[in-house]
Parts: sequence; C-alpha cells; structure tokens
Amino acid sequence: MAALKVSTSGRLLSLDIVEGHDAVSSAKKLLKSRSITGGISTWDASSIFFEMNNLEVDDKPSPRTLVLLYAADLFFRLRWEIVPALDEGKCVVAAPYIETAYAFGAVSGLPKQWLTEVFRFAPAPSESFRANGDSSAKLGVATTGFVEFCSSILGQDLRPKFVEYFDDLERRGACRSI
Amino acid sequence: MIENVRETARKLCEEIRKKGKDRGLLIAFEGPDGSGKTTQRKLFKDWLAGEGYNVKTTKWNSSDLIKPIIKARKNMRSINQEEFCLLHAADFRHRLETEVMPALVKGKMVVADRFLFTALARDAARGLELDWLLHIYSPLYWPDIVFYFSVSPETSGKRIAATRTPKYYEAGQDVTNIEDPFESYNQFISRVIKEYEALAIIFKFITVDAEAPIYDQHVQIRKLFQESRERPWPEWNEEAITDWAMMAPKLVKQREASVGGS
Repeated sequence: MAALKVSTSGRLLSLDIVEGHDAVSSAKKLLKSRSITGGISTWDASSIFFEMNNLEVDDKPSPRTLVLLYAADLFFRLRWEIVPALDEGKCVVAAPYIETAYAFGAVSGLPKQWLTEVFRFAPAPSESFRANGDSSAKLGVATTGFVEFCSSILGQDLRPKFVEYFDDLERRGACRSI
Repeated sequence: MIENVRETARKLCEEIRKKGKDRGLLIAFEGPDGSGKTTQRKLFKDWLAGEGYNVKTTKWNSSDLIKPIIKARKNMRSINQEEFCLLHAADFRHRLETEVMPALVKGKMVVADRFLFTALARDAARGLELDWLLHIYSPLYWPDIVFYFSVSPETSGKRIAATRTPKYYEAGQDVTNIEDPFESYNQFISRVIKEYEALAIIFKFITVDAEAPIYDQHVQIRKLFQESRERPWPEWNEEAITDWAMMAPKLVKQREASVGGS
C-alpha cells in the first residue's frame, strides 16, 4: 500500500502533543506563528476511543491493538478531514499525527518496522512540530487524548516517556518545538 | 525487562513442545458465506467435547471490546476498505491475545469459526495488498489445521439468498457500487472465493467439498483431524508467543499463577 495521494498545493503540518487538551490551542498557535489560516484535525474524530471508553469489558486492549485502532482513526481523519482540505490547497495541522503512534510503539516495545508498515498509508507531512506540555499538570481523563487514553489503559502516566521520545526526535532534527 | 519477557516466552514454548501430541491445537474453519462451515464447526466441536477434549470456540468479529464499534459503523455504512481492515485486525488481535492464546497455552483445543484467512480473502477482494495485510496481522499465529469449505460462487449465492438479504458490507456493496445486494453479493463473493483459492494453495489448507452431504463432510473432518493430530508444533509461532508475553503480561501472569496453584 502506498501513501494516500494528496495535492501538492496544500500543506500538511504534523503536531505531536503530550497533553491532549493542548491540541487545538497549540495548533492555533502554530498557524498564527506562520501567519496562515488552515484547518485542524484532532485525535478520535471517528469517536472509536470515546465509544470504547464507555464499554465495560473484562480485558483491556494491548498496545498493539491500541495502535491498530489509532491507525483506523487516523485513516478516518485523513479521508474526511485532512486529504479533502489539502486537495483544496489549504493548510492542515494534524494534531497528533503518526509520530505519536511511533512514540507509543517505542514506549511499549512494538517493533518500529511493524509500525512503519501499518502507517504506510499516511502521507509524509510538509513539516513536523511538537508541543511541550506542562508535565506538572494533572493527567487528563482518558478521552482527553491518545497519551491519556493509553496511560489509563496501561495504568501509568506515560507523558514523561512521550516527552523523552519527542526530545530525542527534536535533537535529531526530525521536528521542531512550537 | 525485554529479557524477562523472552525468558517467559521461551518457557511457554518449551511447555507447549513438551506436551507433544497432547498439546492444544488451533483449528480454523474457513470459507465463504453459505459454505456451511458454521454447521460443521458446531458438529466438530460437539464431537471433540464428546471425545473428552476441552474446547474453546472463537468467532470472527466477536470481541466484546471492538465488535460494538464495528457494528455501529457497519450500520451507518461509514467505513471504507482500510478502516474495515484495521478495525477487524484490532478485533482479531484482541481475541487472539485474550481468548485464543490463553486457551492454547492451557492445552485446550481452540476451534476458530473464521480466522486470519477470512481477513486476507475479504480485504484482498476489496483491493488491499496482501503484503500490507500480512504486516497488519503480524506477528501471526498459524493454525495447526485449516479446513477450507469450498463452494462455487453460485452455490454460496443461492444459499444466502434462500435465508436472507445480504447486508451492505457482506454483499461488498462498498466496493462494487452495485445497488442490488444480491447482484453485488454474487460479484463480490466470486472475488472472495478467488482469493481463498489462492490462499488455500499458498497455506496448504485442507479442502472440504462443501457441496457434499453434511454428514459426509463431518466424517471427513473427523478423519482428517485424527490424521493431523500428531503434527509438530509450528516453530514460527514462537514469535507470536513472545509478542503475547510482551503485549498481555497480565494474562501471562494469570496463567502462570493458575499453573502454580494447580
């Protein structure tokens, strides 16, 4: 499977975040800093995670299952939000995007090659950013964001590990802080 | 930590190997809709139980966690091929980790009413690449026996039409764009069967003539099962066991505790 084809006239900015409630404000800040208008696509537009959070089940999903669900949600976002806007020549901030899944994979021991294959469909962003959250803030409820959701499932605050992953990414020049 | 997981996985694999022919087997029933595999699966399960085996059944798209999510989206006709594939892969993974693997390591016989190959056949028929599908579903736990219930597209279509109107995704209307569900089903099931037949050769399925009388098929399945009973454990399943130990450590610990306490 090749990455979804997108118009070259639009711009896709990836913004990976640690605090789910920062998604929209950070995305707006990014657009403002570049003096451009554009759309924002956020996690769980398909409401898979919201619906799952309300189910009473005996066994929680594993990290691998969570990544597959994240991929399903991202495909939905690409199909309904991101690609149509790019095709109209607009700028879209995807907050979060694939690095969040890669970060979770690294945190939970999933092979990078498997993650790369799963997300083969996702077009590469024009530019990549990360937002530094306030790590002293209380962890949000599960439906605030993917990091919070996974933290809730695994029973530990994963934010420091995500920060570590994004710090490393930034050091290697693969993204910039906003 | 990873070393501990590998050690746990190594021990699990060793236990399975030691059990030899007394280990639990994973037996998959595959085939297109209307091939009669559910009837055969029930007959086989009852026979196994009568023979004294401890049997666990797992059905396609049945996890308590993801089935409701898929069902809601199917009702709204809101998912495309890739989302359909990824959601079913999540359902499969969840069942594999929480139902299939725990039962197998306990030495149970696991009878799967559809397994991995259902996804490969249907998703490939929807135009997705087999290579990507195999990655999505990896690491793979290979069944010991795959019974493939072979029917023609015409028979499948007739049997389905005799009982119900095929649903939107069952009829493949999401990819055929044909308004009439019966016409769409006939076209889509031909593609699915073509994919199944290719998979049957690659993965060495045991083909059952699903147009033969029901009892004849059942007798054939019993015989084939007994002939296959002493197959060695597929060593490549070690990767899936290691992954399970890493992804579902609580279930592995529960299992160790139950063994220790027994």
